[in-house]
Amino acid sequence: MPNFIKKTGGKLVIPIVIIGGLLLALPLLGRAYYTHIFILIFLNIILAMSYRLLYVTGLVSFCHVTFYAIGAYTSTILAIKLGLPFGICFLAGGIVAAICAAFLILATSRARGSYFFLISFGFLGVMNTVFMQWRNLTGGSSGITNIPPIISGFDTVIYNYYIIFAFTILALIIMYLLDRSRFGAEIVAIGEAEDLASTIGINIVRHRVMACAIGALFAGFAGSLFAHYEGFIAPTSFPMWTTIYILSWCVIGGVRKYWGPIVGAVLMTAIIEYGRMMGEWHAIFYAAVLLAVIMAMPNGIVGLVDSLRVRFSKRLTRVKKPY
Amino acid sequence: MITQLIINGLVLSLMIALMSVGMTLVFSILRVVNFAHGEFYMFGAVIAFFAINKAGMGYIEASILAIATVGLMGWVANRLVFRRFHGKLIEGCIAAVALSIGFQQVGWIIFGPKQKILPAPLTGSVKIFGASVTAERLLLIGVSLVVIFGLAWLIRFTKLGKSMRAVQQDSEAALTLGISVKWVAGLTFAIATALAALAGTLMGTVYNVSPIMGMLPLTFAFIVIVVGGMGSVMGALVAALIIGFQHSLTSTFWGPQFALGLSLALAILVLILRPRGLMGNA
Repeated sequence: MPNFIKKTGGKLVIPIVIIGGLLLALPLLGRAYYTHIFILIFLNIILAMSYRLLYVTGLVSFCHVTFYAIGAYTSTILAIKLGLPFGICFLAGGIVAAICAAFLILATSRARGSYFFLISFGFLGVMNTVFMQWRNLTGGSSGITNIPPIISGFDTVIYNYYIIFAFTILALIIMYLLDRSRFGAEIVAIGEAEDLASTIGINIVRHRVMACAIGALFAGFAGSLFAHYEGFIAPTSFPMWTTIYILSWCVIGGVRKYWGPIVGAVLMTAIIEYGRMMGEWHAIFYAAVLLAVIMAMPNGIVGLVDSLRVRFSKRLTRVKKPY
Repeated sequence: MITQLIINGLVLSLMIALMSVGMTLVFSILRVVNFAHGEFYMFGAVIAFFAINKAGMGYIEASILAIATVGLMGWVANRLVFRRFHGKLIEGCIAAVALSIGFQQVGWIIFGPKQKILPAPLTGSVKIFGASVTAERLLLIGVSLVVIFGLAWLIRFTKLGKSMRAVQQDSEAALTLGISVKWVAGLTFAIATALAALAGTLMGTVYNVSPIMGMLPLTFAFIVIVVGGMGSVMGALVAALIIGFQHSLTSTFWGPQFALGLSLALAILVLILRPRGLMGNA
């Protein structure tokens, strides 16, 4: 990891260590509710970051929650019907989601922009029907209960918190390395200018399939963690709105930057949870915040911060110039 | 039996057509997928419900009031929100979803969770080829057909329709020709939401009125504009007939729980074979 520290100039190391330390100490407060909220925030961060991989390639999908659900169902079914240990179920959940994503992208490789958006919505609806109707496998609308915990015997919120926290850190590091790699630059290039990217020899379809498979892989992992943490899944655990929430976290945070989806996921999850105290007005509150952010900051919060920084630094350099 | 199937398929197809024509018009002009369209449908039925039950209006006056109010709401929504997202697909979608969440919650607050039904203006039933069809369904079919053909005439032969098509093809070129794009966009939005409200007041007599009643028609309209090709009114009408009858047939012979999944699978298949939809050129 010395390369990582060198590239960021060490600036981020101190804040990361402080935040990491605070997060490590959080469950020791003994407030199970906050620990639970932070587990949800971690899962949401993984979802938003994995969705960003699809988004930057120019494939704005509407079915990210379906990959999450596929991961959760695969992992649960393997654990309950075959009695496999958590590790295998977890890997299988992610891999099955990745394979589904790869097939979806290959089958729809001719569709662009809004059409891909609509196809992915169709995929969401079809898979939802599968989860609802394949009763002897998925339990239909009543779902599956009594899912074994991540580590049997250690199923308290605190253990789950540390496991999911560790996985989130791992996922964030992998995403960071991916973002700074050649592959990360190439998928951004595809999203920015597809034709130009293909003229310099980037294989568009293969890169898109790869990016979406990696995104779905992490969404599937998150789904598996969610299923084994909650101990219960049903089609209502993965509503269509979740996909919209994931999309809105990415856009609100600013999807072009690595930190954007993280900021968006943390902020908006906190707002949803805070809003629950407002009773029947909470949805209106969330809608108002969403609308205000999307109208005032089209590049997201991180985009806004960045453009402000550029503006101020330009002003400083202009003063320094001799003429 | 067959007559019954045809009538049911036709009722569903026309309801979907009224919704999806509005959505596809808005998409063709503003390049925004209006996810709040189902909420305008819901508001149409809810306003008509209150006008009938609280203000004691007749069904016709209540419907006209609801359609006018929702059309105005659509114009204001375009003015305040949607106009800023002209051509920005994703941001526009999120803004529309935000509106949808907010509007639905307003529906919960003013209407409550109980399902109610609008009183039908016509009662009794008519025998057609041995099948008894309720008069309200016939009214629904008649009114929808008149409105859809009226809209087709408006788009094809009036000056407003011509400017709508011009803006759809190239909004900047239309601007240089002296067409006020803002005005056309606002009017299109008002027409689209008024059509949704009309669908709501008509369907409120057949199905239930509730705050979440807009979700299913929205999903249908979404599928239909995909299958028909986004921005194509003709495509939306053809696709509405296909999806409406497919839904009605699947529900009758296989089970209603499979109908929506099959519609979506059909939509995916169409898009894989023809990525721009049946008649799309957007």
